Amino acid sequence: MQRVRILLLIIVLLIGVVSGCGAPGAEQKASPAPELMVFAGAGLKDALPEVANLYLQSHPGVKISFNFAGSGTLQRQIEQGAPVDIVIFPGKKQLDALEKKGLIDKTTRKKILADRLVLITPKESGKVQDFADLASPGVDKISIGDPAIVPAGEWAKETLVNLGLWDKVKAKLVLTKDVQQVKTYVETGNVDAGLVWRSTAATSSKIRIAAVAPAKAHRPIFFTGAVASNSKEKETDLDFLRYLAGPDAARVFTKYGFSPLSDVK
Amino acid sequence: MSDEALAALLLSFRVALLATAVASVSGVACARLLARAQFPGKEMLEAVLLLPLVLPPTVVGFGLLLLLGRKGPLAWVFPGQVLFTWWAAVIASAVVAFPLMYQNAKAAFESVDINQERAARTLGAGEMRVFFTVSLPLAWPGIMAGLVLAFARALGEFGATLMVAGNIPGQTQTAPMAIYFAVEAGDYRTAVPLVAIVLLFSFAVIFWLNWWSRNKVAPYALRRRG
Repeated sequence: MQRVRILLLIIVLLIGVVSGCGAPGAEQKASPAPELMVFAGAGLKDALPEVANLYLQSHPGVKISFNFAGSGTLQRQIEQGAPVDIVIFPGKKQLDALEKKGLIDKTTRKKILADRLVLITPKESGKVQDFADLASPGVDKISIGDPAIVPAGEWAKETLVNLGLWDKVKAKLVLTKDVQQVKTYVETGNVDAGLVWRSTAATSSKIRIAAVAPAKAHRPIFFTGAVASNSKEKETDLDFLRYLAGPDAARVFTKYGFSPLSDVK
Repeated sequence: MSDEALAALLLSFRVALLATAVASVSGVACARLLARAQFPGKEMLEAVLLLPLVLPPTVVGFGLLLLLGRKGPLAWVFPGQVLFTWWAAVIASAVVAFPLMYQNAKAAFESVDINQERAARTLGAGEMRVFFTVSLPLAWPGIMAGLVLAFARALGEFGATLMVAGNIPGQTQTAPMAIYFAVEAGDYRTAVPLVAIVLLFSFAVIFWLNWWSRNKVAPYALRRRG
């Protein structure tokens, strides 16, 4: 009886494994439609799916999946062979690194949208009215993304350096691993101020945008897209990228706080 | 090894040891109290105590952020702001390690023959004496297992710690954090030695804990005491 029970258990487990593995394989054989895998910076997780849905209305049959994560994480995943068709990053560092390794097709690099860097504070806090206030003794903690791995942090550091504030505020900085964490810290009132993309700030009602970083204090901020070298759907990729840079997509992006390309020189 | 990496290692060891101590003492105490108690809502309380085990660390971190933050309901417990200090790292690690110790200790206490405890009481031993001379020694193997797990969890804690202690190199950056940020930035020259040292240290501590338990404490537990 004991042996029968063990045999039954093994059969159940095998069925489970086989049925689990069978399904996706069957799906792939049945659908010839292009499936795009898009790796994009976490800041786009609200806007991009909406734009994709618009695209799908005029291009039925295409399937678009997203992987949203910090730029550093995405870069690592792609370097380690993750299957991807399109990548969209803020800034250039990760894209350049991928280009150097031949993982993206550099002729397909395309600016998709622009953004601005803003100084945010908790909604009820009047302590910080402008960038200069960051150096004042009443301001205890400021949060930015880690400049080594977060594009928003890179730009934050560049802005603070160019405004002559970096040395004065360095000791007050709390570095985060992505720009959403900065927003969370400010929303919960645990830091006095933070530097995030304007698009990140636009999604929150618990924070106040105290100031926009002057355009001359940093390099222009673009989100750039590119097609991965190993993509099997290059034509669809290019079509989607072109759509992303187009007017229909721009309308959705502006709604989420991004700036149209025309805004930034 | 850079100053920052060394600081991260030392901080991690400090935080892990302290957090394990806190989680273990409270875990054993709660387990002992709840193993022999019966009251309405007991299962619910236990489920709450086990939550940090089930929830993703970032969620635990967010919860702690809300509880201990400037506007948080538990902020008054600590002098000054505890967030973004190494104490927050200890709290985060202790919170996630607690369920591991609690669960093991509870199972251990439940398996102690209650008649042994009753016998001790009839012989005149007070509750504290019963605990330290009967319950604890008999439950020791399970508690030891919990101790090892709690320590391992506390040392490796990353998500919740990052949220409440923040990544401030030299002050609150623990080894897992340093490793994460180094790997993200492609800085394998920093990451690899850190990983190696953390591995060696964990291996040594766990190995020693098991050896100490088997050779020193278990005999004490089994020894007849007059």
